[in-house]
Amino acid sequence: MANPTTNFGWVMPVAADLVTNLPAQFNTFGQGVDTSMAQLKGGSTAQYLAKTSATDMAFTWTTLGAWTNYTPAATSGWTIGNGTLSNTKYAQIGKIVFVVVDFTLGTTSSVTGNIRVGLPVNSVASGTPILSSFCKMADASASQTFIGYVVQNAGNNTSVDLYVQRASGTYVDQVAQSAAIPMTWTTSDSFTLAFCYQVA
Amino acid sequence: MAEKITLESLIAQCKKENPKMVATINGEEYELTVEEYEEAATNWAEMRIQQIEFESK
Repeated sequence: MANPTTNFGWVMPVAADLVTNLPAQFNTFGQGVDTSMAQLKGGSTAQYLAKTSATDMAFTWTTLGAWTNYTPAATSGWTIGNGTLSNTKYAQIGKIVFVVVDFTLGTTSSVTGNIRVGLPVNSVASGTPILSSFCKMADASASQTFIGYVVQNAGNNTSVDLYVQRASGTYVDQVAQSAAIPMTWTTSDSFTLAFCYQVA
Repeated sequence: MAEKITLESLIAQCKKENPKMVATINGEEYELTVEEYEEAATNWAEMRIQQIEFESK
């Protein structure tokens, strides 16, 4: 075995060393191992090691898919006003981001067009297909819920637009949500989005 | 005779009814800045104008 060791350069006693020097040499060896392994310490149940840089032994303990709260940009078509965003968060696992947005209109919130919601992390490219999505739009006064999904606009990689499923003709088709679609938006109405997409 | 509803009158109504606006984001209250307040009042009024026009059709 190479001495010092090949990968970490730990220095070990050699055959010619005096026995009386062994405690000090083991001390040096042990300290070398201890220093090399320092970043593996810590962590907690169900956490994983992740590299923090390309440097050898640069690790941190992380929780895979931990949720982070965020405030989505009301890019266009809606204004938060005195409304309520709840359970609004995202989690990134590798190059996939999972998002949940839940918004209830307050008395000064508004929907003036196609709701465009800012992403927590830019997607891989403009107009990238969303991997999977669900959108629920609830008309509080009518106790009616409409189903839709989100689509990334071809012109940007920073937001998604809401679409509604329309029952028209033989097949269900899609229509862009608007100030009057699927209902006339007002206080206590809400939309909930859950979707995932690719990042660079 | 009822007063004619205009964008300006709706903005004024919104501001009168809401001297300040507080959003709630993930459980935390957040008072809108002056710019956000103005934008919210204007957009709310525009929404109401659209709805009034839509309802009158």
